[in-house]
Amino acid sequence: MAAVEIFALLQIKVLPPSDAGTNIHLLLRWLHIVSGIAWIGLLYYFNLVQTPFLAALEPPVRAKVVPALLPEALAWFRGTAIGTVAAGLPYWVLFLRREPADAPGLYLWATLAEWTLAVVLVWLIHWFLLRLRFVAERGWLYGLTVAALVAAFAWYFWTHTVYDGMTNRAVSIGLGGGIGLFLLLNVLGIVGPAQARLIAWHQENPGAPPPPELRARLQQAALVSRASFWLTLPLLLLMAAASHYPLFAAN
Amino acid sequence: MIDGNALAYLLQTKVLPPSDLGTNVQLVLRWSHFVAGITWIGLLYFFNLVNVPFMKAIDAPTKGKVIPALLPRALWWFRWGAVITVLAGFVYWILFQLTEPPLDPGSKLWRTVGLWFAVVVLTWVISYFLVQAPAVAKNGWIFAVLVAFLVTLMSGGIVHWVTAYDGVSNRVVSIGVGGGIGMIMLLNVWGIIWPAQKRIIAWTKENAEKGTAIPPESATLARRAFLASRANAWLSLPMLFFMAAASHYPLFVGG
Repeated sequence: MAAVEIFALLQIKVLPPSDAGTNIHLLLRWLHIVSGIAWIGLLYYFNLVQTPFLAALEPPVRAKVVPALLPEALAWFRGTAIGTVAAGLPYWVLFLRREPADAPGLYLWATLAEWTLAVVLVWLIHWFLLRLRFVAERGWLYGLTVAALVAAFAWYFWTHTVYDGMTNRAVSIGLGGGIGLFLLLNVLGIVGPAQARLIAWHQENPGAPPPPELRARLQQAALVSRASFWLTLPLLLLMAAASHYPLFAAN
Repeated sequence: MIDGNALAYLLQTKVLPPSDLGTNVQLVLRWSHFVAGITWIGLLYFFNLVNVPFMKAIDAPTKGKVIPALLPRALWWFRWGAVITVLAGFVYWILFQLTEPPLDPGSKLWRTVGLWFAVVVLTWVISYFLVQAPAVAKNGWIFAVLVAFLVTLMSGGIVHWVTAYDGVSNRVVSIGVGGGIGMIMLLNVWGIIWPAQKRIIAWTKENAEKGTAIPPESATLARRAFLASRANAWLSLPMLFFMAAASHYPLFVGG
């Protein structure tokens, strides 16, 4: 095949869209996916691999492993959690700016404000409940609490924030992204700080087991991590439904 | 307060899951592909970003305890996550191919799938022999350039030959390329990484428990597994680009 023919073939078949909007959307989507895989992948790793792995080690080995393994894992975990939300949020905003069809962007700020407040409030309630020993010592009760609070957020968003003409995509990302923001707050507010203290303890007291107060903090972080793990399933279902599964019909 | 009837009415009018089988099957496949794919590629990123520096930071006796306790668990989720990701994604791709080209839906399915497998497996077999060559295994950059060249050639073949029929959708071409890279990665997991790691874990365990020497072959296998794993980590970036472009970025125009 002559070079000219190959060139003509390439011109016919591969035509990247040239408008900024489509390209920015693709870039945000790609960053969200790569970062999100690293974040949730590490969450799955913590729950499915690292917890049983550390439990299987003898305490002296564990004391060597924790300061060598956890700082690197935690740094990527925090960084990619922020990256995922930082790419996903503007992606959602770009859709909200186009809606509803008769007044594009009319509810943008109201939606963002209510969404943020609802998630932060629900998360703060959950944070205070976790401080109660009665809840923290009963995993099933904590699980129920989280499920009820996330359902309350979804209910509030659905009944108060969703506007006439909101697309399936915007509703779906709003609900899934709300769970995502909740998970980010878990990382930055509970799991990250607890792990950072464990790392610091092992660095400052080589070979010594963590004190009871830190152990209680770690046990809370383990509960939160497990809850985050389960919450990724509805989160990903909503993300998967956003473009391809018309679940929500906001008249 | 909202009474029960109003609540039921509200829910009925607003949350309406599609009732046709096709849409629901696709959602389940998409979701399984996400969850399994995150497990697989997330662990791949863990191996490359966290585990490699971690293994360098610990001493040999600690490594003897860590490898048999950490790697079997991580590799179990890794390799089975890979299988489920590719299976769910492959069926998803087939479902789209059954709906096109518009004039004769499904007529290009066997040609496309057959050629796709041939091109992808051939590409992988060449890369498999390359990684066995000591000159290539020694220098990671040579391996990287060769893999990039092979995968570019493969992608060109998929775009311009395998999926090049009249009326092909952007989605089928894009998943063809991204899925082709994904299939190469799956073959790397099952053909290079896992067989090597399986033996390294067994040797390390015996060494730690009984003091038997670790054969020198172990270093060669570890190097091969490392190169395949590092190649997979980089390949995941274009792979995810084409997956992200499939539904939302009309890159390919049907011939």
